[in-house]
Order: sequence, then C-alpha cells, then structure tokens
Amino acid sequence: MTHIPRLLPLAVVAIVAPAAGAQQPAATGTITGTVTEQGSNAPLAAVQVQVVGTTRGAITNDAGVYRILGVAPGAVQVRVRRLGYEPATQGVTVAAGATATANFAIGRAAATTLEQVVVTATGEGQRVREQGNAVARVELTPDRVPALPAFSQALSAQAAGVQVLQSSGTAGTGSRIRIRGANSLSLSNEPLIIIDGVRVQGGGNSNSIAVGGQAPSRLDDLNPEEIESIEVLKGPAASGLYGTQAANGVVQITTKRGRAGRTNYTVYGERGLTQEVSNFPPNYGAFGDYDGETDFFCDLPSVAGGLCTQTEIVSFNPLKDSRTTPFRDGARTQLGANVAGGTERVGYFLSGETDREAGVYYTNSVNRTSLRANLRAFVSEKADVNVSTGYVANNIQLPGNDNTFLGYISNGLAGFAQIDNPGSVNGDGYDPLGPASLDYYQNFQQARRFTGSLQANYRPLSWLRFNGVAGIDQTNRLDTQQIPPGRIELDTETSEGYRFANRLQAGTYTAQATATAQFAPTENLSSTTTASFQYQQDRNDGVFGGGYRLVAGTSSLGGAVTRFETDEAYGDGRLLGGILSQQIGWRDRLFVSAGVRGDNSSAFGENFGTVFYPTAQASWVASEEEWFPRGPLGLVRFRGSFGRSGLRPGNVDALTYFNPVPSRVNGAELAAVSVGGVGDPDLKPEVTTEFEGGVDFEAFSRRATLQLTAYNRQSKDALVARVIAPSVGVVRTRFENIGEIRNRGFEALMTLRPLDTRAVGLDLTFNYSYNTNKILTLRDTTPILITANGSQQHAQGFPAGGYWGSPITNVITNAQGIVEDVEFGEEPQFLGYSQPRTLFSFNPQLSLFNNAVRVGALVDYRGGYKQYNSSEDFRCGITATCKGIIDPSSSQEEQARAVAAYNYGNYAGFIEKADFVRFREVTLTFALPERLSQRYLKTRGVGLTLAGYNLGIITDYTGVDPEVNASAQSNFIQSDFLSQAPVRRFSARVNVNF
Amino acid sequence: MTFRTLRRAAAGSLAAGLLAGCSLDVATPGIVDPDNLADETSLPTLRAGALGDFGAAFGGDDNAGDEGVILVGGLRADEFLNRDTFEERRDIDLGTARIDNGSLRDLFRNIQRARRASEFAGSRYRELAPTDAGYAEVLSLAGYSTLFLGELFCPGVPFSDLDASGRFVYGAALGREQIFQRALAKFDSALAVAQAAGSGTAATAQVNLARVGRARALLGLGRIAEARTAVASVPTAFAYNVEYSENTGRQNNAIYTFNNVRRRWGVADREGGVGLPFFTANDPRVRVTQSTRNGLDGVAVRILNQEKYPARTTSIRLASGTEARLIEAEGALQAGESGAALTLLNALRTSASLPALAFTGQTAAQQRDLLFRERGFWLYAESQRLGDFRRLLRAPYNLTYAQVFPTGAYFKQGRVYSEQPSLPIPNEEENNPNFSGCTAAN
Repeated sequence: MTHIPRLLPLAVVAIVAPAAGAQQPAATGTITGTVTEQGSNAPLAAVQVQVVGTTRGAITNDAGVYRILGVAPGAVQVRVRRLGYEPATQGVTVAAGATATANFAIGRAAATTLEQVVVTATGEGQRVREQGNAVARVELTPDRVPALPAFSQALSAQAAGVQVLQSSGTAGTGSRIRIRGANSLSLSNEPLIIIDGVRVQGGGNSNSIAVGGQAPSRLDDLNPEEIESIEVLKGPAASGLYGTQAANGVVQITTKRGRAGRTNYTVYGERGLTQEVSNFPPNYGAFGDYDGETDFFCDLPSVAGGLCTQTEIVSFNPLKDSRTTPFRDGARTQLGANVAGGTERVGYFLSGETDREAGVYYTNSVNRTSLRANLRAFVSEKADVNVSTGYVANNIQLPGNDNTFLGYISNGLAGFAQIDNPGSVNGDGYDPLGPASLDYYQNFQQARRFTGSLQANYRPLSWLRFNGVAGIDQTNRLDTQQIPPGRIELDTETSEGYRFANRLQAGTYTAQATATAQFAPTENLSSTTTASFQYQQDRNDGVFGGGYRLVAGTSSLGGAVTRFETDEAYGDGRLLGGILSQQIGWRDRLFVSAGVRGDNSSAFGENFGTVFYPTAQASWVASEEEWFPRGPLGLVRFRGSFGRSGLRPGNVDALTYFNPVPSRVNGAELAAVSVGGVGDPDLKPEVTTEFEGGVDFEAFSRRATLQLTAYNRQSKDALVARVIAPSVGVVRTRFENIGEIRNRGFEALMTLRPLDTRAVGLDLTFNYSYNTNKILTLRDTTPILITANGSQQHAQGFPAGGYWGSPITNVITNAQGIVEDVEFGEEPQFLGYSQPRTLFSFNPQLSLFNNAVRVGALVDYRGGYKQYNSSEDFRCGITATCKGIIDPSSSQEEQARAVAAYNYGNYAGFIEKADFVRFREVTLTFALPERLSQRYLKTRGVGLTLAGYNLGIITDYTGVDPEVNASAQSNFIQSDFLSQAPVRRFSARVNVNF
Repeated sequence: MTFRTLRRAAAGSLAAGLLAGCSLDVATPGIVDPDNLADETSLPTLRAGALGDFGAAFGGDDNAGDEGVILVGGLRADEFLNRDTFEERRDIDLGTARIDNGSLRDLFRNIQRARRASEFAGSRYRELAPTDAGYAEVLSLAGYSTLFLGELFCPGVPFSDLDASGRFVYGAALGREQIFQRALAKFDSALAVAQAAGSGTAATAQVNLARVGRARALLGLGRIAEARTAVASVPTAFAYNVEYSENTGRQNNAIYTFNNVRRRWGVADREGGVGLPFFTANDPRVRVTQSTRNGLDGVAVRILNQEKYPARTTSIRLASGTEARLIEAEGALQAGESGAALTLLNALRTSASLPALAFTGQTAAQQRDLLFRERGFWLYAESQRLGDFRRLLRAPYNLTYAQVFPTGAYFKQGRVYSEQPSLPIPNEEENNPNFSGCTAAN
C-alpha cells in the first residue's frame, strides 16, 4: 500500500493574509475544481486547497475534486499543496451566490518540502519555511512497522541527534530517549510527548515492583498503526514555547484522520519469530594439586602464588546448553483492522488491533489490545472540531534479570562450571536457582490507558481564529509480583511465598486556549500574532499492598497470612502558562518571530514566582530571491533560532517535611515521624537556553537535499540532587540549583535519489550527529557519585554521568606469563562517556516495478562512548568464574583486569569501548498492483512485508551487548550487568485494502 | 433573559469554573508539615520517631537493606562473616573498606540521622516538657548514637545540624576523646532529667539507661574506674531493649533477616585465629546452629545461624544490668581486685547455669582475656564488640592489632585480612567544608 504523506488538516493550518481592514461580506460565493497530476492526468486526493489570505479551504476527495464554501466575492488567489508535489497558485474571480472553477495540474517534487506544516506550541500550524529551527519528521511507513519491536524503536536512528537507548531485549521493556545529549543531572532527560495536541505520559520506569532492572515505558503503549506523523523538536530553540518540561525536546505525534472520499478499509495480520542470539560466556573452574591434595580449587592467582598446579580446567554454560537453557523461540501475532473515510464536512478513522507476543523466556509476554476512534467535523463554515480517542489494554509479564538473585541470567552467568555442582538447587549448573525454580517468579503489569483530546477551531473573522484544546491521558495500572510457596528455595521468604499488588492511577490533564490574528499590513508583509493560555496537571496516586506466607494455590493478598504491608502515594503537580508571540513575514521568504512564555508551577519554591522563557526565530529562503542564480541548486534556506525552556522540580522538592512511620514502643505500634525532606525554599526551575543555526539545500530537482545544523545548549541553575553531608543528620540529598551543563553539537541530514523512474527508484538517507556534553559548574558539592562504587560520577569539567576509574598502569607476570599482580593509580580518572556521542544511520530504500517491490534497510552506528562490562567484572572479582581468572591461555589483558578485580575490586579494565554498527532493520515488501488486486481479489491492494530486526552487530565490545542497561531507564546509570541483550526478530505481514 | 444573555452567562460560568480549577495549590496528604508538630501533643510522636530512627540505625533497616551498627560492627570484629556477593560488605569483613563504601555510607548517615532525630525531639521536650522521662530517653538515645560514631568510625567525625531556616550548620570534626566527651555530656543531661522526673518506673528505667550509657562512654575515654562507679547502683535485672516488629520491613530485627532469612550474614567461629568460638563453644549465651545451606556467596561452607534473635520481632538489648556487672568487673580487674572481678563474673554465670570461672594461676593478661571473652559472649551482637576491640588497642591495655582483630587467611576467595581498626568516614562527608577525613586510625 502506498503511503501518502499528508499535510495536516486544514483546520490547523495557520496561513491567512486578508486584505487590511477586510470585513466579512454579507453574501458569499463558492469555488470548485479538480486537481490532477501533471503528465498522467490522474486525479490527486488529499490535496490541500486554500484561498490565499483567508482561512477558507478544502481537501480534494478521491476524484481530485474540491469545493470551498463561503468565499468573499472578488478576485482571489487559490493555492494547492500536497507533499511530494509542487505547490501551485491560480487567480479566480468569485461572484456572490455563484460558483467559480479553478482546476490545477501539479507536478511531482521531492518529499522534503518547505510547505510541510508543523504544529506549534499554541496548536497552530506553521510551514517549515517559516521555522528557524530544524524539525525532524519521522515517517512510519507500513513497510517499517512490522520490523519494530516497540513504538519507541520507531524513533531509533531516524532523526539526527535523537537516540533511542534500548535497555534490553525482554519484550515489554522500555527504552530511554535522548535528544542532543543530557541536559539535567538529576531530573528526567526524557522529551515531552504530545499526542494530538495534549501532553501524555511517556515516561520509562513505569513499574512499582522491581524485577532486577527492566521496566516498561508508557511510550510503548502507542500503536504505530494509528500514527500519521511524528515530529521531533529537538530543544528549547524549537520547543521553548512549550514551556517548563520541554527543555529536553518535544516528540509531537499526530494520529490518523479520515479524509473526504471513498471509505478505505484495511485488514492486516502479522506473524513473527524472536530469537535469543547473545554470546553469553561459559563459567570456568579449575582444579589442581595442592600439598598432596587433588581437586583443590586452583585459580590463576593461586597458581601465580605457587599455591597449586592446575590439572583440569572445566567450563559449563547453563544459558546455552540445550539441557539447561531458559530460552525458547518467541512468537508474535498481530491482527488489526482500520477504516478511514468521510465527506467534505466529516472525516473519521477507526482502528482496532490485538498484539500477542511471547518473549524468549517462558515468563515473558506482552498482550496488547488497542482501539482508536478519531473524528473530524466542520460544524459550520467558521468552526471545526477534532476528537481523537484511544484506548490501550496492555498485559505484560516480565522475567527477573539484571541485579536480582531471581534472574535467569544472574543465576546462569554467575553459575557453576559444572552442571552437577552440589550448590545448584535444581542440579542444572545455575547458582543457585535454575529455570525450574525461576519460572515460578511471577511479575505482571496490567495497564489500561485512555487518551483523548478535543480540539475546536472557530474563525469568526477572516483574520481571527480561536483554538481550544482539552485533553486527558489516564492510565490505571495493576502491578503484581508473586512467588507461590514451596517453589523457589532461595531463602525463607521465597520458600514461604509472598505477593505484592499495587494499584496506581496516573492522569495528565491539559487545557489550552489560543487566539491568533493574521493579516497583511502591506502586500509584501504578513503578520501573525498569537496569545495562548495553558493549564496542565499531573496527578498520580497509588495503593500498595503485600503479604507473606501464601496459602498454596492462591493468587491474592487474601492468601497471605502474615507480615502485611500497606502504603499509599499521592502526587499532584500543576502548571499555569501564558504565551505571547509575534511573527512577521516578508514576501513569504523571510520570516522573523519572537515570543515569550511565562510559567508558574506548584512545584516552585515559595520564594520563587513566575519563570519566563523567551524565543526568537528567523528563516530566509534565499533561493527565492530574484537575484539568486538559477541552476542545479534549487533551494538554499538559512535559519536560526534561540529559545529557552526549563524543567521543574518534583512536587515536594522545595518542602521541608516529615514522613509518617510506625514505631514500636512498649509493645504497641505508635504513630511516629522521620525526616522526609529538607527543601530549599529558593528552589526554582532549571532553565535551558539553546541557540541553533543551520542551512538547508536542495539540488537537482530535489534529488539531493542536505540539512546542516549546529547548536549550543546550556542549562543554568541546573537542579542537582546535591548530596548533604551525613553529619547534618537528615536525608541524603536535596535539590538545589547548583549546576550548569552544556551540550554542543552538529547534525546533518542528507537524502539522495539517484534513481527515480517507474521501474526503479532508489532513495538514500544519511543521518549524522555529534554531541559534546560537559558539566560547566557544580557548586558547593563534591563530585556526585551516581553508582555505589563510583564508576560513574557527575564531576565539574567532565560529561554528565561519565565513567571514572583507576586504569591499570603496570602488569606483573611470573615466569610462565601468568599475571601475578597489577598496579594502578591512586586517584580515579575520567575514562569516557557513558552514552553515545556520535550517531550515524544509513537508510536505503529501493523500489522496483512501479513500487510493486520495495526493499528497505536501516544501519545504525553509535560511537564515542564506553560500556561497563559489569557482568564480567562480577564474574572475575566475586564469583571467580571468568576465563581471565581461570584459564592461563587467556590474554594478558584479560588476566590483568581479572586480577585487578579479584585482588583489589578495581573495575577500570571492564569499562570498554562500546562503538558498534548494528544492522537494525531490513524490510522486503511485495505489493500487488491495484488493478490486479481489483480484478483477481476484489480488493484495492494486497501487500506482503517480510521484516527483520537486529540482524547483526559489529563491535569490539566483549560483553553481551554494548546497548543494554541493567538499570533500564535510569537517568545516567549505565552498565551491562546480567542483562538480556536485544533479540533478533523476523516477521511476515499481509495487508489487504478494500 | 435573552438567549444571548444566557449564552454569555454560560460562557462566563464556564470561564469562572475553569479558572477556579486552575489553582496551583496542591494537597500533599502523605507528608507531615513540621508546623503540625509544634505543641506538647506532638512529643510522643517525636519520641516514637526518634526511637524508630534509632532502631533502624542500631539493628538495621530490612526494608532499605541497611545493615545497622550491630551487623557492621560485628562484621568488622569477630561476630559475623560476610556470606553474600556485595563487595562492600566483604571489604568491611576483610578490613579493606574504603571511603566510598556504600554500606558505611548508609550506616554513617543512619546513625547521624538517629542522633539528630533524638536531639530534635530533645529540643522540643526542653521547651515543652523538660521534666518528662521521655526527654531523658531521647537524650540517652542521642548519647548512644554519638557513642556508636566514636566506637565504629575513625576519629574526625563531625556533628552538624539544620537550622530553622533550612540552612546547614556544619560542625567541626571531633577527635576520639571529644566524641566520647560529647556522648558523656548527653548522658549527664539524661541522668539529670531522669532523676528530676520522679521515681516512677519510666523515670527509674531512664536513670539506669543513662548510668549504663555514661559508663560506656567513660570506658571509651579509658576512665575505667569512673565507669565502675557509674554503674554500681544499676540493678542486674535491668534491661533496656530496642523493640522490633513485623509491622513493616523497617521494623524487622535485621540481624535475624540478614542472617537467618537471607543468608547474607553468617556467625563467625574463631575468625582469623583470635576470634571467639561462638559456634564451637556451644555456649548457651550465644546459641548458634549450622544450616544445611551455604551462604548466598555460593562458597561451599555451611552457614551458621545465630539463634539469639530467633524472629523479626525479637528485641535487642541496648543496655543492661549484665553490662553493668561486666563494667564493674573490668573496673575491679583494673584496680587489681581480681577477686571482686571474679565474684561479679561468676554471679552472672550462675544466672545462666554456667560453671564458675577461676583465676587461679592466671596472669593479668589471661584474666583480661577472660574478662573480654565473657563480655564477648554475654554481649554478643549487641553493638559492643568493635568498641571493645578498639579499647584493647589503647591504654591501659595496649595490645597489638594481631592480638585483637582477625588476621591471616580469609575463609573465601584466597584473600587475606588487612589492618583496619576503625571504619573510615564515608567520602560523602566531604560535602562538609569542615571535614578533612580521618584524623587517626584509632
């Protein structure tokens, strides 16, 4: 099925240029016409048609026909626009009570165009040519969707400067999103997520019960099939008017709408396979002779110390051995349908989908059902309404892994070197628990989520428009964890069984009202003035319950008989904001705008009032100037922007308070208090200021495009969870505005279309970005240790969350070449970035036989960073089962770092270079031509897509995977610690259109 | 009323309703405003809070995974062994703990937190009920928190505070003697308040608690004779217990949960050559059983379980008449009154149906060793052992490190003990501009 890129519905287009002083005439006329493709004369649907300088317009139906009502009599200009085609304008004279005709034939153009419309913070639409910043648009073509393991991966390697850090390959677990590096040391670095004009929850770590490290992300509740477009505003220069919480950028998502014309039905089904392909290392052990005793445990330090002589080296890999592996081939089944259609006045989109995935563990699955109903209606000539509603029911089962004794990988990678070691509870080489026990570790999450938005536009005058948005994002969740009695013999608690069940509700509510005045003071000038007010509320509450010693066969707190635990949580954060902005345009090629937003929040300190965020932008399409030389270079646009945004502290961060706690006194439980927080009354939001500049080129009739962007972003008064000296006798940290962080970088996006014929088409897309992050200032505090062992720190003059350690400076070997000892420096030094600095992606798309066959791929490079191979550090330093501590044939480097860990707890040798190239996606689509579909299958189109995900990786990293993170969506903590690497996926999908 | 008027009224009502709903005032029902703790009715709540914080620092916080004074002090001494995979805990056991040790970071903070909670409660009592027995109690708890800092950590511990405006008031680092003097002052105040509180049961208990606390502080200062005098009137039957319960994880007896439930701690037996035989002695004062399972570290050594605290609800003795008699015995021995010392020790042993000891033919050093062995068994896992070890390195005993602390080969991973008589102050204290690290090793 060919995806037709859409401009936004006319309701949100913000282009009007009425004659000065124009008044609405009493009688009006009508304009109608047909839009066809130049050359083929084929009718073009979904073309936006507008009377220039007014808010009057329409969209062509499947026959290419449009009809505009309520046009003021007189000579007017009619403009047509559609992505992939050249815009065109034509004059026509309209008489009162009569119908004028304006037909168009427009030629094809490159996909990137200045006429694309982007939704702004005020809910208005703005063309790309008017924007001073780079806006990344992510295309979710039907070909790509089957390859995606989750919605967040749709953003991966699609936009320069946007990186999706996938934490693990466990189905149902989320990822972190970073745009242009990390701004904040202690607050979230996730971007703001907006769907159909309302803010929604997109956060990770969405789980109240720990399973060792991983957690779902609410962003992955979204169904890619429902998405029309995704735009990424990368920083305050673009997102400043979104206010507090937008400092990390904004991901703006628009769901599908119906359009005028014949109703389109789509049915699809997909079947997929997932495989675990990690290179888990085996566990090593060695036996030797000591003082006449055989079978003495004889590791290399013992050999080097002359304590024993090795006689046998053994190894066993419980994770890979077919007798003991916990893995299976996972499977995924997806069934869905949608219908889209409408008239000139009403458009609708309805969809439903079920998605069932069984992960590579028997205790891992995701079952999701998603429904959507969107309605667009022109209730009158002056007013239209958009309603979008979505519902998701998500049931996730997660296994234990990462930092838990109840994880498959933790028990396997830290297991025994022999399958029959008596320390293995299940006799399978795991230490101590194997799958026979761990399969009873039951972790579930049920999420029920409703997202709804109501947008209304009212145009009482030709130059004045009002827009209102109200929205809700409500998630109800049940998180449970249960161990049945007698199944997991780890300790007394697990043996007796327990259950935790937590019910949580989280709601995000948005209300916004905007007024926009557009007019043309002169023929060459246009003016747009906008004022907007916004109210946002985030509210969450939860009730937590747990009990121990379960009655066998129960799956309820009612089955617990002792040690009941209860708790309750409540949070409410509110924000009130106002926006004022002014844009001036000259001859539709030079645009200058400035604006300011003021925010006040319930989370600001009592001594702090309103924060103001100014913005300014400029864009100049130089190539449209008369003096610009004509030639292969068709477009040159210069752009620049400045913006300020911020992050607010948490609801209670500015307060000094006590927590209620119980205390046993004289045999009775009494109400007591314990210090809960010592807030800074001067606490204010951290403010991020960004300057961005760039240039866009298009050449050879848009067969080659290039966007270059440079940015400098600085966060002042950064909110830092500053460590309080323990001697004060209160809590460990307090938020204070004591930091300054800088991100600088460069981005490039290049597209090439070397072949563009009906027989063969080839599109090549290259994305590149480079980021430098630095903590400029960290006042009144020592370096902040992020991890317990200091392997990651926030330190002034270095990147946030960098790796620190004491590298080995000297290796001492014995006569046999076995490492006896190592030396290293006293003071830790900076070892490297913990998150990628350089991103590069290559995305080729080949189409054959007039789009009947399409091949796409995505190759993704990330570099300039390191990964802490904490698994191997643990296996060498604690369990003494790594190769470097056992096998004399291991390299000197392996032995040295193993000895450093074993003897001194020195981990520096395990902070490894993590650069990688990953073959992330490959898709192959066969589409039956429409005429053949109609003739033989009575359908409008049939397509088959074969897709693969995570097909290979090239890296020097010696651990399981350079991308995984045992701390899931932690802000900065990054390590590969007993974690599940991304799995390999294959899928086949059939789409049928009626 | 016209339709236009109705429309305007509706729009105005809607606008007013929307504005009213746009308030930035939010409720925070889950927290307690300090302003709600300003009158006399809040004193029991503050006292209970101080007791709760003290209990978590003393016996551990099972909910947070924090070990507490007894588990950490016992690990560094010879009462416990590390039986899990946490490097920090193993390092404490080995004597290689660094200033970035996470377990010590949490312990140091929790003790300081307990100290301040007691002092804060005390400040309110002083203002609102200066003759209440509860005031004496929180003063004693502040004294014990200070004692723990002196007994466990190296000299150089600061004592800081938070003033009413929310500013940090950083204290100077105190040497060992200053720390014990500070503790002594707390107990002196506690004793004075308790004596003024009357002769009721509660007041009497606080008098005895303060006396035992004073004596322990005086031992730390090497003033053994004064310590002997301080406890002379404490009845042998006296006991002050810190209470625990199954109500929440924080309130569990963490010695039981860390050892018997989670297999992360194990009882030590003749640790490092000079350690006491807590298991093999088969002493009824320290009941130890051998589990059928290894520890969580996977090392093929059966874990030893203490049975002194057989449940999450078992209270832990903080101060007792038993301790008073032992202090008296030590004072007698130091005064050359070995006979008096022996009488005191044997009176205690008789109460536990243990055979009497004899000093016949024993040197002063052997009698000293016997005394500290008695202390070790009577006060097992009551936070006393590490303090005793460190006193033995100082005057009047002046023993060597190897005579007191475990040395030589560690029981797992081929490691060897290092020399570390005290726990280093965690580097998070470097956020105090007056702090500059340990000022001495002991």
